This record gives sequence, C-alpha cells and structure tokens, in this order.
Amino acid sequence: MGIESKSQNIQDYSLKNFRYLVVISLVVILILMGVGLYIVYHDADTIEQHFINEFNEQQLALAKQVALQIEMEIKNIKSELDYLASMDLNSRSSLDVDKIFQAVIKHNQNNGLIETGVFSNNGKVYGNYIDTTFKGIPNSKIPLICNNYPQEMTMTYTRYNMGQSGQQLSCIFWITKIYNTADTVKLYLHYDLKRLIGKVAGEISSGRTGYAWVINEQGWFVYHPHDVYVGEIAYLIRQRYIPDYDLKKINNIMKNDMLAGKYGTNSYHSGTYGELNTSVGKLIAYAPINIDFIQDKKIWSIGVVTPVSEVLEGVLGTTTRHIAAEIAIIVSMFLLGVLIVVYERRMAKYLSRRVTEQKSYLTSILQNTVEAIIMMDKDNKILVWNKGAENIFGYTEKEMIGKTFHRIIPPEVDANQELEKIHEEVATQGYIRNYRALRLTAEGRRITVDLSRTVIRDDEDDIIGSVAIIKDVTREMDVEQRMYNTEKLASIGTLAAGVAHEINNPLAVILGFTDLLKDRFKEGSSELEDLKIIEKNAENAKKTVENLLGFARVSEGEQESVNVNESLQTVISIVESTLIHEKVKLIYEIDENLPDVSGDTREFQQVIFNLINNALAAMKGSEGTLRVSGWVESRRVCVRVTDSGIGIPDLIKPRVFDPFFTTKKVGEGTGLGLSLCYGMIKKYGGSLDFFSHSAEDDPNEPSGSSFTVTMKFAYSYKTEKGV
Amino acid sequence: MSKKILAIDDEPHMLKLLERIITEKTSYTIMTLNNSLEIENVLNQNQFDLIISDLKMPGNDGLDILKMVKEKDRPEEVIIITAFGSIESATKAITMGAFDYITKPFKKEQIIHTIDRAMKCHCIKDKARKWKEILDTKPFSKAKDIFEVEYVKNMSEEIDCLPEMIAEETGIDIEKINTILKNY
Repeated sequence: MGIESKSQNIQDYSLKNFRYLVVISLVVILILMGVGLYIVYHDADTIEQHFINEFNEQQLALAKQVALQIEMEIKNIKSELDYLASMDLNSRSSLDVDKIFQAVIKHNQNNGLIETGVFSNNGKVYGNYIDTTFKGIPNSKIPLICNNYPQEMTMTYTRYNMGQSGQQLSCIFWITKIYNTADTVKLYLHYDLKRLIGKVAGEISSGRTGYAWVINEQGWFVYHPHDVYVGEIAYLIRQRYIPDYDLKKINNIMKNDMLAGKYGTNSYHSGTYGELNTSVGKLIAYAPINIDFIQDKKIWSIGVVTPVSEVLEGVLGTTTRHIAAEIAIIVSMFLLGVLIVVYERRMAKYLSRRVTEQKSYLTSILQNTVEAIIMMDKDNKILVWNKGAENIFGYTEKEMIGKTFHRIIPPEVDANQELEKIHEEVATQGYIRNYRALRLTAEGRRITVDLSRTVIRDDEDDIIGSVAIIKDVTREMDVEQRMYNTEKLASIGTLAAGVAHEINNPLAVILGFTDLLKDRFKEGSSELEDLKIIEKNAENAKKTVENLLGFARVSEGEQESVNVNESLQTVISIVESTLIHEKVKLIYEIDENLPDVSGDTREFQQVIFNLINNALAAMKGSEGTLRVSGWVESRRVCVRVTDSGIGIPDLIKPRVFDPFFTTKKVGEGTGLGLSLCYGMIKKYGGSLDFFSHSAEDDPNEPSGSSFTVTMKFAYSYKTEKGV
Repeated sequence: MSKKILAIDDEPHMLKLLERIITEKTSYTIMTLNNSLEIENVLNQNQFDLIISDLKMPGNDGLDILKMVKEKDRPEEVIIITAFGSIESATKAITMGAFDYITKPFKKEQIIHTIDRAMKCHCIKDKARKWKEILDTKPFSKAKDIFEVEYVKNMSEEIDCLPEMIAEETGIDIEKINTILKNY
C-alpha cells in the first residue's frame, strides 16, 4: 500500500544514510588511528634523536672537561720541569740532587712518571732516577731520542713492544738547561702515558659502559681502556681487529674533526665494543686537547664513546610503554566499538521484535474493530478498508481499494456535494467529528453512520491522506427516534391533561346549570329544546376531553387480563357487516388459545376497533384486503392489522401518533384515534408499531399499512403457567 | 331537624351549582366555603353531616381536608369531586376514608343519589356509635337509663305521637317519658 511503501522508502533512505555515516566514520577513525600511531612512532624517533643529542651534548661536555684536565696534567709536567730547571743543580751536592729527583719521582709516580733525570747534550746521562715500583720500560733510549736542545719543553713519544700486553706508549718531556756555554744539560721526565692520561680519562664513565680514548696528532691511541690499542695507529688497529667492517665513518670523524682539533658529536657503527664482536652503534663526543706550551705544539683529541643501545635503553622503554598504552587504548576502543555494535544489534533486534509485535497488535485492532476504519490517500482514494468496514457496508476490501466513497452514498444524496463538504471541513479543520450521514450498503440497505475523519501528515507535516472511523448508528438512531417520539407524546399528554382539566370545570358548570334549567321548562317548549342543544354540544366537548385525558392517563385501576381470542372475535363480529358492505376481504389468522395479556378488555377491543376502522378508511372504495393476524413471540402476544390501502407517506410517518393529527376531513375524525390506542397500549407495557408503504413514495411497490400491537402476558397467566 | 352539608370548592360557580342542586332538589341545608384555608375554623365552629370537596384546590386540597376530618375523628362523611382522568387521586381518597367520589362534569341525579347514600350511611354510623356507647357503659343501671332515654327518643321520632301512647305501647312510666322528652 502507498503509505506503507512510502514509509518504507523513508526507512530505507535513512538506513542508507546511516550506512554511509558508519562507513565514513570508520574511515575517519582509521585515518585518525594511523595518524596517531604515526605521531607516536615519529615522536619516539624524535624523542630518541633528542635524547641522543642531549646525551651526546653531555658526553661532549664530559670530553671537554677531560681534555682540560689532561691539559692541566701536562701543564703540571711543564711546571715540574720548570721547577727542576730553576734549581742550580751544578752547585749542589750530588746528595742534594739525588734528593730533589727522588722527591720528584715520589711526587709524580702516581701520575705515571716512570723516570726522571738529567743528561748532557752529548748523550751522557748524569743522573737517572727511576720509579722502582714501575716495571717494564727500559730507559736506554732516552738520550738518543732527545737529541735537540730546545729552550722550551719538548715532548717525544716512545713506543715499546711489551710482548704479550702489546705496545707500551710513553712520553718523554724534556727541557734544555744551560748553566754556561760548556755545561748544557737536558732535564727530562719520562711518563707512562697510559697512567698519565688513564688517571683522568680512565675515570670517565659515560652512560653505563661508555668510555674515553685519546689519540695523538698522529692518530695513535695515546690512551685506550684496552691496552692492546694503546700505541697503535687507530686506523690500522681497528682494521686489524675488525677487518670486515666498514670503518669509513669513524675514520672520517677522526681525520676531519678530531685530528683537526674540532669539538663535536657524532655517531658511527663499529664492529666491536668491549669484548663483543658485533655491530654496535656508538655515540661519540670529542674534544681537542691542546698542548701548546711545548715547543712544537701538538693537538690530541679525546673521544668519549657510548653504545647507542645503552643510551636508548631508557628511551626505548618509555617509547615501548607509550606505544603499548596507545595500542591498549586502540584495542579497548575497538572492543568498546564491538560492544556497542553488539548492543546496538541486540537492541535493534529487540526493537524490531517490539515493532513487529506492535504492528501485529495494530493490524489486529485495525482489522477486528466493529467500527469501519478506512484510510484514504490525498485524492480520497481508499487505501485501507478493514473488516469492520466490510461488515458495515458489505463491500470487500478488494472491491473498495483504490475507489472513492461514491458507491456507498445513496442516489438521493448528492454524493459530490456531501463528499466535497466533508473533504473541505477535514482540509480546513484537520478533522471532522460525529458527522451523521446516510449510506447505502452492498445489499441496498440504507444505514445511518456516524463518521469521524482526521488528516494524516508525514514527518514534513504534509498531508498524505486521511483516516475515517465509521460507526453504524442506524439502530441507535431508531431507538433515539422512538425515545424522542415517546417523550414527545408524553409531554403532549401532560399538556393535554392540563388543558382538559381546565376545560372540565367550566363544562361541569355549564352542564350542571343546563341540567337544572331543563327542569323548569315543559316538554316541547322551545327553551327546553335550546337547552338540549346546549347540553348536547357540551356533552361532545366533554367526550373530547375524556378522550384526551384517556390518552394522557398513565395507569388507572387494577391490571386486568384480556382474553385476546374472545376480544378479537367480538370486534370482528361488530365490523363484519361493514366489511361486507365495503367489499373488503378479511383474512383472519389468529393462533388458537393465545395466552391472556395484561390490559383492559374494553380498551383492548377499542384499540383493535380503531385500527380496523383506520384500515377500512385507508381502503375506502378500493375493495382491498384486511388481514388480522395474531401470534406469540418472545413471551408477548402480537396482533397485527394489515390493510392494502393507500399507505402512510414517509413524510407524515413520524406524526401518526400525535394527538389531533389527522388526514381525514374536518368532522370525520378527531385525530385522537391512534394516539388513544398508543396511550392505552403503553399503559399496560405493550407497544404499538407500524410499517407502511405509500404509493406517493414509490408507485412501483404495493401500498398498504400494517400496525402491530404487542402485549405482555397477563400476570396471572405467567404465574399459573410458570412462564 | 334538617341535615347539614358543607361544600368546598375554589370555583364559585361550581359552589353555586351545588348549592342550587341541593336546595332545590333535596331537604338538606348547605353551607359553601370558597376558601379551603378557612376549613379548620369552620369545622371548629360547626358540625356537619357531610362534606363535599373538590379535589384540586389552591391551599388545602380535597385530600388534605379528608385527612383533617379523619385525623380528628370527626363524624362527617366526605365526598370528593374530581375531574375526569384523576382517577388515581380519587381511589386514593377512597382508601383514605372518603365515602365516594364524583367525576366532573356530573348530572344532578348523580350528586343527589350519592348525597342520599352518604346521609343514610352517616345515620347508620351515628346509631351504631350510640349503641356502642350504651353497651360500653358501666354499671348496668346507668346503661339502662341511657338506653331508656334513647329508646323513648327513638319512639317519639319514629311514631311521632303522644307520650301517653308511647307509655301504653311500651309499658314505660308516663312520667319518665315526659321527663325524657322534656329534656330532649
């Protein structure tokens, strides 16, 4: 159906939209997650780099500091030499000289001083003082090495092969002392470089296992924690130990930066670290050691090295935790999402079940209500036609869907005009309530319906149709009409009674005095005749009043019982001669032994008599048929008088029981007959109904009237027979 | 001694009609009352044999008057005049002790006949009451005296003759008869 499919469309549409939304959201979430992860990863890199830089800066500071210390140490050596030179060793006793040198030895042996002494410029050693605690380096070479005569302190490296423990690198500092032109000597201090520099550089620890090494201007290892490196040329020894490894980077650093006397930090890969022969990334900070207070200035360089892995241990831990946290958040978000989806699906399932349930309720309500529920589209074409509508109008759903209301509107009503009126009111007001209308059923029956109609709007508030609820109120209308009639008659009765009472008094006075006056005149006198006329007319008035009061009476005296069969026989015997005279055929169909009914025999007879009289009047001159029938129906006795007369036109049907209403000529009837009958029957709890068809309304059908008197069983009859 | 009738109606013409019928056609005397509210006064000052009252009146209606008479245990009979159709009220009046009812409009014969019957009934009731009084009297000698008085009175009314004749016929002392008739 149209409305459903429309709502279906809307649903599909919104569902599609929702799907798009979900897909877009998912894509956005994925992108965001990627960006997040990238940032975290990138951040880790940056942090790492930052950390490395920071560490290297620290390492550099350390290197600088150590360089300074080493410079200081070497400066100390210069002051020591200067101190020795300031002494006039020539003028001193040899004992004194011994003492001085011994003191120098003692003072510097912790700094790596191996030997000291003085020798002549031709190589003769005057005195040589050795640190006896130190073992290893022979001193014979010293005069050979120190063959020039600098005025300033001079430094010379000596290298000794120490066998198993590799090279031993030492350094001789000397200075020329001229006492006089003939007596020129050299003072010297011979230092074990390993100890001299190791005292400072060996103390360094960078990171956990980082260490320092020092190279001289020739690229020798002046100091290295591994003894085997000391005294070796750095390029070569590295090449020797790790031949397969590309050492370009460190070699370049050494050549371009370190040996050039630059500060700096860098990193490189080395195939060895400590005892490990694996590829290790290293951080290096280097600083120059300027030894500019000797004759030919030298620049050493100290390198502080730490494996990157060690530096990054902390960073890696942090980053890993960071990423783990990120992943945990993502996973929990994902789980949450899954949970929400599952919940949503469950909810949707539950809701759809509820909706189905509600829908089935609604459908069942819609289909099974007694009232007709009819839904129409904008053009007032029927969309929904429920069972109630089928029952009321007799048309099936199939016959009505897509049609308009025209076929259920009787021809005497202007369908277009009425529908237009309803549509207009619904359109302007939004609804119409309790509209009473005449409708035609499939069987051609006319029914009165009560219809209410409301417009239906869609979500955008546009009118998409209307729904009507229609009730068959024919019966109610009938009852209402009867009630209205009863009420009307009762009020007329009360009114009539009041009027009658008012007329009664003056009538009584008129009749009374007339009666008295009559006695005063002789029989045959004209006065007496006049009085008789007055009396006659007053008597007529009295009768009218009596009839009127008879109609109005509610109940009077004791309830008697009426033998219906006997009473009917009596009335028939009275009217028989008239029937023959009027050539009316009588059909008498009374069940034998009808039970007695409540009522007054005389009055009952009068009712039947009146009905037959009316029937005869209706058939006057037409040789019709009079049918009198009687039967028992649901504990009541029904007597029906049917004629084939002219019938009662629809127009005056509602007024037939009204007092003084008559169709007869003035003087022929009072208009009280039927109203009297009605009053009498009602008084005993009976009813008087009729149906009639007049030739005026439809000349094609036979005309005639039928009045049915329904009387209750008499009380005595009920108790006797146990009814 | 003529019997007295009180007629009550708010309609003066109706009262006049009743008065005319009774004075012209019967030997009773009639007193009419137009205002039913004065009934209590009138009854306190007079005693009647019969009251004829309209049913529907402003002030006290027929049933009120009937109730009043019956509650005070007065000897008057009451006839109610009703309009045709108020039969329920009329039958109610009967159950409350009215002698009879007449419906308007009526024939004079109807009225006269009903009044006569009422008077007769009233007379009988009167006698019955007297008999009961005598029978209830103690001691016997006093009852006997009263009876004697009533007996003589009845004789004198019925026979309407001389005391001597009564004495001769009944055997009661002539002197006694004379005393009784004198007091009566």
